[in-house]
Amino acid sequence: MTESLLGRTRLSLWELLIGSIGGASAWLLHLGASYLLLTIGCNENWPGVRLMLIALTIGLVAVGLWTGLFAYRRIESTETDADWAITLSSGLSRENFMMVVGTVSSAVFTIIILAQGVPPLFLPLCSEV
Amino acid sequence: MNPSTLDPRGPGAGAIAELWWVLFYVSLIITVLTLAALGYAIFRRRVDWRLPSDEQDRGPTRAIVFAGILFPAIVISGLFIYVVITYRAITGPGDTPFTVRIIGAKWWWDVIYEYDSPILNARTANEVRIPVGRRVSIALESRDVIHSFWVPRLQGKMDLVPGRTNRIWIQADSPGVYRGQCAEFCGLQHARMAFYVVAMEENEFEEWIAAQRQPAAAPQSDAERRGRDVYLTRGCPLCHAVRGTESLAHAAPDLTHVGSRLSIAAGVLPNTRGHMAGWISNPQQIKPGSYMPRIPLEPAELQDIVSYVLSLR
Amino acid sequence: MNAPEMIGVDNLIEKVPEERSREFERIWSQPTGFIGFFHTIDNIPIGVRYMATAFLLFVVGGFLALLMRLQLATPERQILGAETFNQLFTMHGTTMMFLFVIPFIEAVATYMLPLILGTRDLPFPRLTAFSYWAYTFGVLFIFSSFLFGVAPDGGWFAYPPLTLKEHSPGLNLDFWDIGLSVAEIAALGAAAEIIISILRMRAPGMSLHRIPIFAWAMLITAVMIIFAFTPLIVGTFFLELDRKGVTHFFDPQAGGKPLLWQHIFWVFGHPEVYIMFLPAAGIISTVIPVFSRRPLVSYALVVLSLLAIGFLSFGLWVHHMYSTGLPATALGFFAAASMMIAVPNGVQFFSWLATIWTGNPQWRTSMLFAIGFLFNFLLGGLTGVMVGAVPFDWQVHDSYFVVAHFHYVLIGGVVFPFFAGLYYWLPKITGRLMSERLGKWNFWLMFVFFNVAFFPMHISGLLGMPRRIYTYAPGLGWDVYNLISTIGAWGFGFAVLLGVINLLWTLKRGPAAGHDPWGADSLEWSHASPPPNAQFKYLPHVHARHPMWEQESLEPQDEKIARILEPVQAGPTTWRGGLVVSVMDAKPIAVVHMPNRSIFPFVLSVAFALIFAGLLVETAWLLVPGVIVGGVGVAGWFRPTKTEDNALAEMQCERTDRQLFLAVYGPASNGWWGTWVFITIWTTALFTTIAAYFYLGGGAPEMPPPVPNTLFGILALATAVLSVPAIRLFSRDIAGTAAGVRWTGLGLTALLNIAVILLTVLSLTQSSVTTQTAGGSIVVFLTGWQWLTSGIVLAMLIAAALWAWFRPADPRGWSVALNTSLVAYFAVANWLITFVILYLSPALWG
Repeated sequence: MTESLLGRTRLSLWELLIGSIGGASAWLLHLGASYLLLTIGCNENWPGVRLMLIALTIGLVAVGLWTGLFAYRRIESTETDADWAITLSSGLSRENFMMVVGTVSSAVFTIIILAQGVPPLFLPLCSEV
Repeated sequence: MNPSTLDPRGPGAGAIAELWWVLFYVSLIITVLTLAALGYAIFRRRVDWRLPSDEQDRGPTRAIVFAGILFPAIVISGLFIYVVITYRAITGPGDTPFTVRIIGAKWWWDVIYEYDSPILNARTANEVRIPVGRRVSIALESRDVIHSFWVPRLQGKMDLVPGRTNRIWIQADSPGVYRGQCAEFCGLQHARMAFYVVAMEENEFEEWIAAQRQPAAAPQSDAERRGRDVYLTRGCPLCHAVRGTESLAHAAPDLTHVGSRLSIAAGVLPNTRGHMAGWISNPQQIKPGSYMPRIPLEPAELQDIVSYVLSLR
Repeated sequence: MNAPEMIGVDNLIEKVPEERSREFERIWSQPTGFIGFFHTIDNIPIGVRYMATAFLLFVVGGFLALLMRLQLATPERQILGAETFNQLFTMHGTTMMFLFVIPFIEAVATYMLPLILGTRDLPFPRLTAFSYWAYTFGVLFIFSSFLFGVAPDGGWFAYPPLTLKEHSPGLNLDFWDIGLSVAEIAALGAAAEIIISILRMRAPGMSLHRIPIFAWAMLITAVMIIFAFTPLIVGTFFLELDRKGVTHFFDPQAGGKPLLWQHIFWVFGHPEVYIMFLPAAGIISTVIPVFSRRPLVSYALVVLSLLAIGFLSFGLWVHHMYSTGLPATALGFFAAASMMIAVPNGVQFFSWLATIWTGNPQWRTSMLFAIGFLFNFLLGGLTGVMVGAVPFDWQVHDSYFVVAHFHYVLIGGVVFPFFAGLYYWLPKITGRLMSERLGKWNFWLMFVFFNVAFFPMHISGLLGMPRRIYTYAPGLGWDVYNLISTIGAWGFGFAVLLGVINLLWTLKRGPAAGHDPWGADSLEWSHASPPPNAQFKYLPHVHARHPMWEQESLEPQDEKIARILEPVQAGPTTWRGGLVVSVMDAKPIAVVHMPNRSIFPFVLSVAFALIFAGLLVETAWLLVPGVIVGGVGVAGWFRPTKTEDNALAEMQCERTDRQLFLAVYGPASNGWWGTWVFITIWTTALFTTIAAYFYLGGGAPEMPPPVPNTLFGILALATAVLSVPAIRLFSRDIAGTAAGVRWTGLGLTALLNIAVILLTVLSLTQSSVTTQTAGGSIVVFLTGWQWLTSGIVLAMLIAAALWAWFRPADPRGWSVALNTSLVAYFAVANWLITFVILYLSPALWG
């Protein structure tokens, strides 16, 4: 058990953060880095911008999946007597709550990262049209 | 003539209209299903209703996760791929040897046909004529504030932003007149900044543009000659151009071939004798705040200048 | 699960002598009389005024739209001229977006949050009052423009170059730009309060995963406000400087970029609409469970959705700029996120659906509005997914289709929940039930006419009708839809009027509501209606998510807790005390002093009004008095008061776990947290400016931002870094430091900050940087930002020095010193970051 800002918890503060907002952070990083990469890369005429964007997507999808698994595996260890679906409705354990929420959110944000990875594959990269 | 996005006449608007119908039908299905569920939830008979236990809530919660999160995420992702494909179809370069450079100003459109060799260039205003079946490249610029070029039956819109050049293509697959209107609030007379795109068969287009390249026709009748004098001496050359005379300013629409245009005052009035007279005699009545001043003219002068202007075909 | 008979703090047997109980009520009573009106800082009377003012703005803003609809009913109508119409649509949008929705939400939160959370007030009562007064003056300021015929006319979004001086020479846009500043400040103040209130001031035992969904929604909304409104403040600052001719951020002739404004505005503007929606969703999550007689299905998923929406909303802004010519791939990123935000919204929707499905619905007016919301929001959300698709948006952007979309989500998705909340909470606020009969008419008419007004706009938009046009040509196929919309709009207006009539009738004739007319689950229903000023005389102890449904009693069950809470049960009696709890578990930690009356928030608002008016017409005759009154206001606000002295005499300040202590200084105090919120705001502003720096510098290699004088920049950096030990000197071990040492530290820090300001001024004057170009403008602004930051540090140092001089052993002085140290450290970091950007990053340019 660790004692921290979150009270007495079985998981450390890092584990709680990674599990709960890892997926969302990966998404934000993907959007910001992609937009930045595209803007600078197009301005400076870097070759291989498309490849870099694809690599970025693959990398952050991996991160999203990893954080999802990370959270999923900790659902059991923080479990109370109840099924995950009941925890979602009744909130018996805060950590369990955070890990369940984190698993679902990582799944959704990973899908969004994937969606954001599609445009560089099909659309004109640097020009408007 | 109604500028309906759902009555497309070219591949740009056509692809978007298809996308619309897909989005519409998917939304319709979702709406019907959801409202049916809501209706059932509201109206279903409850006999001996008891507060559900946590155990009983498992089902609804699982349903929300699978039907409410994963399923919509997959549907929307699928839709998104279709969106990207549509997007791809409406972008890309044009395939004409010329680019139409359109420079927006408050509240009219300066239209310049630019070829590789400048002797082929032509200039008009508030009207864009294009050959049928060709992807016409349009370059959009602004000399004052942000405007937006929108001709709904042919293509989506693109803004004219001062300090940058935006590009778009438009293509009409059948001859016709297509109405467009400025779609970014640009001040007082934003509502009265329209234009027409006229699609013609390719050979007719070549004839038309050849005529546009020519300087203005010399006045034929006395009235037209007098009208030209009125034109040249009452301040019009300060802003307008009539190529072939010493009037060569471009602060206002190029009038070299204004007589052959469908409309005047940026798509606001039909190009007829009566309307032209009304416009010239008091532009502030029709477009209050526009930059064309009211210049007092004797009735005879007015008639003459209208004759002259309409002779500029 | 019916509310047990004994529940309700009012019903608890008085456990303290009557004398003490009366003293407690006295210290919590309102100032009376005319002057007392301006001294009031309690959340309940301020909340009522705030709600009334904001609702009035709703009616006014709506009326502006009704006039617009008259003009647009048929083609080529001549009722309103172009300029008038443009002012109307600008003021309609500005009123609704800045002067109604968010203030109304703030008002509801001001009144209700403490009741819902089981506390006695918001953490900074004077700030609450200031937010209200500043808002009211801001409203008067902007609307006074109508009197002079120069109401803002550039659209509520004010795109340059149209809104630069060249194209908008009148004062219209200055009214808009300056007037908005007050709305922005009020919003940030409210946000700070809401965050600190929800995180620290709740009933004991109300752990974070037991707080009502409305509180989650407000918490997330408040955090969003911090990150969204701050860029807007920077942006409007840029615009006003451009308009005054000082800078050239947006002028293409000077290397400026009109799109910079759009990026900044929409980085604010998109989260803004979710800032409006989330609290409304919170209201729905409150109302539907109560009227379905069961808790919300899957609280956790709903909280997740709110968090996801809050987060995602910051990554969508470019979807307002799809037609500006940005690269296709970039637009694709934002399209993906924009379409996918439907997912978390859907989760909430299904949760509400499931709650109704498995519940036992009761058809009160409030619930009807909730159902109306579900229908309208479904449509609005679906059209939202549609306009998220770039190609489709290229057709419908800036057309009536998008007008239809956002009215469905803003009226359907925000106003309908407001009415649901009104019908739900008004009995608590007034003590009287609203007429159900009038209510049903109110709802059905609003619902029908809303759809009649706005559904046809989808069609006219698809038929090619652009927005923001004061008239249109006949025969384009738009005529009949416009006429129907006008009829619907006026019908909607009358329907809203019915609601107002119901409200007025209720005030006169409504039957008594009792403390819990709905049999609801949250703490506000444990009180009498209307709640007494001395709310929660006995703090409730919470150990369930739905205390009124799931608890036998609100009294602390645990002996230990009861003993710890003893000082705050019907106490303190000579000062107002609020309980501070731990963030996660709501364990009682400390007590904070809360002021009971102050006229200085009002005085400070007057100062702001004078200053803003002075800036508007550029006259010292208003600016100088404004600054003087402002000085009086600030001094009066922060001066030591009698009740604070009482608190210090009665309770100890040292941090301890064994009993409640008085949190005056350090991490346990609200002031410390408030300072951190302020630093967050300032950092956000800094990063917004830095982003603008790179935006203006990149892509224009012929006009990169110039570099100021490096020598002076480095000297300033060294000076700033030198101030770190000076800061430590006056803030480390605050209770044990000798006065002389503290004085040295404060003095040194002040001198060093003055030196930083001078050196950075020199770095500009000893260089060729001017504000004539966009690049120069941003460099000067960034440097000037340091002056502002250091200036604030200086002001705080003066306050700390005054305390150290007059009352060296007073913990309030220590608090000022500690908070000052935070801001002073931040000022060092501010220059460090700025230095890297201004002097080192140009090397990247190559």
